Amino acid sequence: MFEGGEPALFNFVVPDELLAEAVAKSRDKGAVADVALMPGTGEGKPPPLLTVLREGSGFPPLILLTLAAFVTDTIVNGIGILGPEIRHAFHLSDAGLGAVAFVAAVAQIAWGMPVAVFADRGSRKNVAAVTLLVFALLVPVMALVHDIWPFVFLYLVAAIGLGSSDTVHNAYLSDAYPTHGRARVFAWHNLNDPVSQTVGILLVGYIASATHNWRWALGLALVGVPVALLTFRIPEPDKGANESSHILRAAGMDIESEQEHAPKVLLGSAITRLLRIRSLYYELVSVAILGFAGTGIPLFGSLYYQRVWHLSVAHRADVFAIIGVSSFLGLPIAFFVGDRLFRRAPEKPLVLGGICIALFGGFYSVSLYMPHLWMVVTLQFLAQAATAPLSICIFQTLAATAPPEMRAICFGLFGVYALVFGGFAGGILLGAVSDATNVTTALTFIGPVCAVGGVLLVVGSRFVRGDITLVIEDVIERYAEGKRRKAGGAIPALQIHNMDFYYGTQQVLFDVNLEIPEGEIVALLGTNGAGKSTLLRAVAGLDHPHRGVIRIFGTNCTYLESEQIIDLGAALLVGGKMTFPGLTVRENLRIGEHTFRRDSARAKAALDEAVGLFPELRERLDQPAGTLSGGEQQMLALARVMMTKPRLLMIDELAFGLAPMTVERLMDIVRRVNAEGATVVLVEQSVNRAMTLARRAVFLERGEVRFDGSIDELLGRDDLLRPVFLASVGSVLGTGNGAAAVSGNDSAAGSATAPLAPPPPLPGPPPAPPGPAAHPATNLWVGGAGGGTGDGAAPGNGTGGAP
Amino acid sequence: MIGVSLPSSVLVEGIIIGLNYGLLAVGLTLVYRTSRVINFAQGQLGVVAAVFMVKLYYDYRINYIAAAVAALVLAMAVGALSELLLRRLASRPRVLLMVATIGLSQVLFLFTVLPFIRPKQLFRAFPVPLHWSFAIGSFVFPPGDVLTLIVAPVVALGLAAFIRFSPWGLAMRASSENTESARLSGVWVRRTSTVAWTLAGGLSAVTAVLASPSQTSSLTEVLSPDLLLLALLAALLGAMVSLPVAFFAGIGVGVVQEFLQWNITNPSSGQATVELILFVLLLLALLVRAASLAKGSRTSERVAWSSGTMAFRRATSGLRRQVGRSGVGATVVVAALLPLLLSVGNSFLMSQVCIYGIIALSLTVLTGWAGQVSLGQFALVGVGTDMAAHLGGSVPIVLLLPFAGVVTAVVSALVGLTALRIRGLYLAVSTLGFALFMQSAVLATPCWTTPFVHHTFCTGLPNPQSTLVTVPSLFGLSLTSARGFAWFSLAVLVLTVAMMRVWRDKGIARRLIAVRDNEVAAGAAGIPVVRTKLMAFTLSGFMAGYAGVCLAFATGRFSTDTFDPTVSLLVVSMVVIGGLDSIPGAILGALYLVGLPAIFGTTSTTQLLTSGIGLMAFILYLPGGMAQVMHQVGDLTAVGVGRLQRRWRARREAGAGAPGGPGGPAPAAPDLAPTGSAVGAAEAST
Repeated sequence: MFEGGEPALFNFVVPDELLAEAVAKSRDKGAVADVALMPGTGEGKPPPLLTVLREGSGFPPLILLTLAAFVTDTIVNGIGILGPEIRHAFHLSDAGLGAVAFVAAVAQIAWGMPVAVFADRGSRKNVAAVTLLVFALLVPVMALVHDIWPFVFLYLVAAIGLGSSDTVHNAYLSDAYPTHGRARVFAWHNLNDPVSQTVGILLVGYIASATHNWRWALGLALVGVPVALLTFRIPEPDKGANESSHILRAAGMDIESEQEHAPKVLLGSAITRLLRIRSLYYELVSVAILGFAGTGIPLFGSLYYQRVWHLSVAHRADVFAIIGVSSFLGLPIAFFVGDRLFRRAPEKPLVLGGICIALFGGFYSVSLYMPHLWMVVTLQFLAQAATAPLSICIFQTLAATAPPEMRAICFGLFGVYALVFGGFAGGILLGAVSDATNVTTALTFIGPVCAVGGVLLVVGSRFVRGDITLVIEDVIERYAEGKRRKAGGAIPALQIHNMDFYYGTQQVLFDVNLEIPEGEIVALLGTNGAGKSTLLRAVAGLDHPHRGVIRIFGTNCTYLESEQIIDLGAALLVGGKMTFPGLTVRENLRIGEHTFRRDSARAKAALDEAVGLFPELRERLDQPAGTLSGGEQQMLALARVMMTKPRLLMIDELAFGLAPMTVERLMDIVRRVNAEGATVVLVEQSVNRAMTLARRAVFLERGEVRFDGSIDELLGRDDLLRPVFLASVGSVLGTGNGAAAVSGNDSAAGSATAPLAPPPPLPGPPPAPPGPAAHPATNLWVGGAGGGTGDGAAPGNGTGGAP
Repeated sequence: MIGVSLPSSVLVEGIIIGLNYGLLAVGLTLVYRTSRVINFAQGQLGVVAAVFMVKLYYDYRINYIAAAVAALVLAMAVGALSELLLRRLASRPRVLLMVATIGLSQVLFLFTVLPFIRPKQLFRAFPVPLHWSFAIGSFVFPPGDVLTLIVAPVVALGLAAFIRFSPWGLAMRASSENTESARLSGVWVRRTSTVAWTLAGGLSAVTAVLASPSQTSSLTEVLSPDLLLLALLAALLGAMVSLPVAFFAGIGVGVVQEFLQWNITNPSSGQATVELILFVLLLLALLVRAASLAKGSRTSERVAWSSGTMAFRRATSGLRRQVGRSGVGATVVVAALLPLLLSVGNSFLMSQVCIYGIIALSLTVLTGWAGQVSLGQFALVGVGTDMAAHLGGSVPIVLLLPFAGVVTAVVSALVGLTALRIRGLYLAVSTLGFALFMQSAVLATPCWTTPFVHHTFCTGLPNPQSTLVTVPSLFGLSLTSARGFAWFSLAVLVLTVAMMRVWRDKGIARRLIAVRDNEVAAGAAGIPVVRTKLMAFTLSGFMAGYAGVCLAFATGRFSTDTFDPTVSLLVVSMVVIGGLDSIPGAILGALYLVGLPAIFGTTSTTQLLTSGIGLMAFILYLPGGMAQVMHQVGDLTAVGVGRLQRRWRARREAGAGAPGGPGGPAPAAPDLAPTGSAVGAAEAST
């Protein structure tokens, strides 16, 4: 058992100390790690690409994935080019062809996220290979069908191959190659974009015209089959291994790249985590703006050339082809500059991105008013060239700030924002302006909108270091945890490391660290608003922290949902709020067996046992729970929670509004559960009641852990308790529970902390105005005569503290 | 009205219609139980399916069963998707969620226009798989009715069994009772909610497919608002909880409706009487059921249904207030100069925006401050307009405005009387009923005679199809020019805002909000709860009344169609888009929804933006409305101005104090305190 607060608990300060050395306050909010710790940074020039490739997984992965993206992009662009032929072959109307294109675009977006989820959970190269294989095999079949519906259906399924190139490939490449070469690797991979738009389309066009049949051109997809098969053979790097090795080396720790068994984080929770990356917000908004332009320009740019310059279809195609080549100009910029900037300061690429998007908007808007066509095209060429480095810059930052095991989803968000928000809204908005005025005016809007995007990126760049720090903290936490486990340390029931929690912008928990060994009963004490309930809610998965890690029995469950956490053997009971009043008692209990409802034998046994705990429930099995008394409802709630046989039982105010007798019975059950081996965390308002159950107490005040140690010792900490519990301590003194020791401590502590702890009448801390008023009432019924002793003792305390 | 009878054919017809109401009501209840929202898109979910089915059946010649299954799957998928979309709003005020479903129904309407869903011919007999028909007396029931009689009970029973006996059903009931507790027990609450919406989509599809064969109008109007209202009535009879009660109540409503229509055959005022009786029945149902809602775990929604709206914000720093004031001042000046620049059409538009702004403000008082949801605000405007139609020629406008205001205030208070008992979204239903009743009964009937005294009252619009009013003059100044009227409306709007500022500063708003947030505590603090609520209705009605007069003169010609209940929904949208309980927000909302379409022309794109999708986007991504953006801009401006001021002051001091000194960057961290705290406060309250 825990004694005095030394061994197990403070063992774990290792990473914190390391961080404390490295962490420096910057002008941003919160602590930011030293640049040296940040992966991808360093002195001097970054090593050449060849070295990067050799250090990483070698040439094959990069080449194969680039090829894969080239094949899929070429086919999609090719289908666009072959539109008229396809329309003719299937006897479609223009609208019908448009609908096919629309469906395909939707499918591409729709596949992105599921594919990303698979990639993040398992092997990314396999997901990349499988999706490409499906694509490569289905597209040729599309060429064989003679009806539009099978064609569309196959296209929908094949679109899975499109969904993976931006998400899975980028996530894979982030891990396959060292961090200092990322911009170059991404730029290389992105080459497929301009190449497919030039070489690819020419190839498709050539095949189609040479064979006089558009269907042969789709056969080009078969190139994907060997690529996919080879992709199965490339190595699968550990997720985040590059980051870990860099950080641990920089922090002077021995590197043991060890992949932790990661629990299955749901898509929703992953997005919750990702949206905690502050720079990501800004990136996504500017990506949406880019999508706005990216959708608007093909649609309305064509209209512009037709109406303003009276270009024919063929000439318009030429113009777009010329502009499309511009990426060849833009990508090298990213290639040569991206890694160097990041090396010097990790936020710099984002600044470059901001400049790029602003340049793009500026060039584009100005180009619309040029007097000569060549000027227009030149400026638009420059504008387009500026977009290529932009995506690389954002990819680079995304890869650095997203947790490695959620990278594919993060890249997926990129696509969603670009296409759905930017694209959809952009098309509509530009259409509205164009209808109301003219197409030139509508397109001019792209300029100011992009300027806003640029500013946002620059603003967002300020958060990059803080965001990378979060990743670094995770790595160090994982490392320390792994090391401890390797040393044979016991796995605690609950660990909370460096947890920050916000409600909106209001921070509630500040860097909370807590460790609870298995089998212990711990009381969480503190004023109202101290963050006790929030802490338990975060552990139970009802809310997620903004920083830090929560482990239950060693499993990292920071971003698991409460529905998953119950399977880890942890349960939360919230006093007074846990029944379903409209359901009968039996149905309430059946909800308790929900997680194992298919195991009918176990379910029945659990129900019998639950009713056995509280016989009075048996008579009321078919009565709505709302008709039970408060005490019975709490019994029902406890019975229900016990049905899952939790190994970690968290109770938020067991005594919530209950009579002492009932509380006593409930507490007996808690004791029994603990005796059977379960760990219990108890939030309590009353120190007295906490004392009867727990030996260890954790005292929270204004979201910070102020005390962690034996409860007897806490009683001596008058400086902590007096402003909070007032009479509470007095009543303990009165009941004579270790009165001598406590009073002895009292005088010592009192004199030592006199300047710190103001005398009782001073108002409590701002977050808890109702606190002092509530506590005497709570204590009135503790031990029956609590009121009397409390009153008597309060002045005693006052005199004790006065000298 | 002597021979009251109920022939069996009428009874059966009523049951058949009622079965459709019942199914809709069950779907409404299902969604309400899991998402705590009246799903105004419930009907539209099924319409998409029905239209798609016609497409499959006629255009692609797919057989009935396969087409029906495909349509069902589509509706279920759309239902599930809707839930995924609206999930973001789970913790937002219910008003937002409700308006979001209104937006959703408009978005779903767009679905029916998509090329691969819309059939080539919309006005074709809806397919029916049976050929059986039967007759009672001379009344022949077509195969479609037979189908309804067979399918609807089976579906209802199956659903009831699912909810009652399956673990999913239990999970669904548990999560609707206590979401967090269910989650902590391992019930996947969100998935459960998705299942509920999926089922609701399926139910709606079944309803639409069953109701369509007997439909005479366009297929897309199969489940119109008044039909939805009757389904709501049934769902309310089941207290939005009980599926069986809702189902049977639906049948009952159908029978009552048919019974009334059979017995009341007076051609001139018959329909009005039926509407009146149904409205009274609705109110009775609400009043009776309201008692049974008073128990159980759902106290939160009864007390403060719209609480959790943006906090009532007031700038704490003087600088921030200055920025706000200058912003308001500049806006007023610009608005006052605007008519000089605008064309006639746009001046007309400006007066429209001002008047809709007043209407939206009246709803800000009622919904934003007092937390009482009204879906019938435009019916109150109708009262004012009606007054203008009757008295416009004889009473000077200066008197007419307050007089109409007072009369409307009385009507509004009468409506509000029900609110003393009916709370939260039940009030939304009764006010929606009021809106329908006003439009189709009161305004549409020029004159009516009391049954016993035989005195004729002429309270409706003099000509329901097209009533004209002549614009009066104001102190000898003619208001006939569009520009003149724009100034007039602007003046009324400014006065209204000034009046509301007074209410806000003198504590009236504070009392309303106190009652909204916690009735018990407000009562305990000595605020007369009943009187305060009635006051909210009175004040709001007063504003709506004179706004109605202005609207009458601004448009000059109107009909009963002007007062379609959907306009009331539009007004609610304005308030939500602008930001609940924000004065400038309501005006911005009016500007957005009334002004934008007119500025950009009524292109399909603008309509799209200002309705459905725009509304949804606003609610989903800017729950604080435009006011939120405005406040943030104000905060940022204040910070910027503050920084400039400080820099300027520092430079001046540096210049005065030590001319040759370092004079470096003086602004230090403590300097930031005043504006920083203003921003901090703003962030905390968003």
